Amino acid sequence: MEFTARALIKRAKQGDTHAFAELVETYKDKIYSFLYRMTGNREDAYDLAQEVFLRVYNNLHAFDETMRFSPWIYRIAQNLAVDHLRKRRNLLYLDEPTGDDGVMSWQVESSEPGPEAVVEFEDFRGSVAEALNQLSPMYKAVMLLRFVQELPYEDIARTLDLPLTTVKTRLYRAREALRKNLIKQGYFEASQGGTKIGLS
Amino acid sequence: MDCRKYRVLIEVHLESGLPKVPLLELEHHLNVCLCCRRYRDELSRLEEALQDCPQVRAPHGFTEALLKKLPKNYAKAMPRYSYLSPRIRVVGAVAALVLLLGSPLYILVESPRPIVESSDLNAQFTIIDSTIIVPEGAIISGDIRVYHGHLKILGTVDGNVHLVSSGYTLESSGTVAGSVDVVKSSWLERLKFGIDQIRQDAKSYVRGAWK
Ligand SMILES: [Zn+2]
Repeated sequence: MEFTARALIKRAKQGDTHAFAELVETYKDKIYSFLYRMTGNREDAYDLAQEVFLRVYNNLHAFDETMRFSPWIYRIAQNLAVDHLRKRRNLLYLDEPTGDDGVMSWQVESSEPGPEAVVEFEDFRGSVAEALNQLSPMYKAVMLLRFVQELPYEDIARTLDLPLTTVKTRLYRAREALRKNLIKQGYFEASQGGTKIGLS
Repeated sequence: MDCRKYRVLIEVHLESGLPKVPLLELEHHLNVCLCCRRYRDELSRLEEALQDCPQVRAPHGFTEALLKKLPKNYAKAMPRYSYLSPRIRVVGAVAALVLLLGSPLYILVESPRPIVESSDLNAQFTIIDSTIIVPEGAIISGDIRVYHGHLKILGTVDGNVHLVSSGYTLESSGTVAGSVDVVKSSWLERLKFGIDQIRQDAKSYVRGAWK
């Protein structure tokens, strides 16, 4: 995949009209999927995904071909998503402070659960998806990149421009938040997690 | 019993795997500690559920919509084909002629879109992006000409194949009865092709008008 992406970018940079279209074809589902899970809304995901590829196009010349493409494109997607959510949030809760430390404090409006979420709502997977949807954007992004998009830790760190240890800390905290949510819903039993984060 | 240590080991193990010695120690503990076992099971169930989150597919027409928004001539990356009615083609040809005369560079600099032509009037092609496919089982009784595309042959071409600035793939199910020739088009040839096209269109228009 990475190899193909780099070859396509090289051609697209030289003005190859088909190479860019092919690059879009290769990545559109991943990017759309990521944005759909970030925003919980198909129209927003569509608009943002289009914007991601426009930015890719406009910044092709700036892409360093010795680097991996995935972190680069996910980074654009992540920044756009967070930006978008922040704006939407300000629109919805104007008078609320914008501290984003609490993992669970921030919710995407739940009036719009994705179609999948509705269908699967009854079962465990649906509850996990719903719990994931309730994480704050920075925790949600790290979980999506890790488990849904299956990026290696190094790529996640590069995508989010964070040190590796911070990525691991966020993953841990996000997972704990999910676990607590699932305990509350009766799927899991209350028990102590580890203390790895306390140590690092 | 200090379970915290084992909880950490469980997390590390799920994240990146443990070396043999601490893994044995962890397994030994899991055999005797129900709480830690449950913790491990819950975490693995959670990870499994997260990994099962299905990918959502981008809506149909996503790429086409995007290409239309790009500056320059990227919209042309999506192929359009020349199986139009002669009348529309002649209008196009006249427009091309005007453009050609008005700014000769236009046709030379523009990145051309793929075109397929066949002497078999009933020829059916499957077209995906810039790839023109002769489907498996299909028989084209005549010649095929492809400009600026890629021809993929799964069926039978009972004639010759001319490729102008195009590539081709002959799949194991495909056959070409005649010859395959590849021409790299130069600016001059492209211009000549443009003029030929106009001449042909004009001819067919005149013929049509007389009918
Ligand atoms: Zn224990």
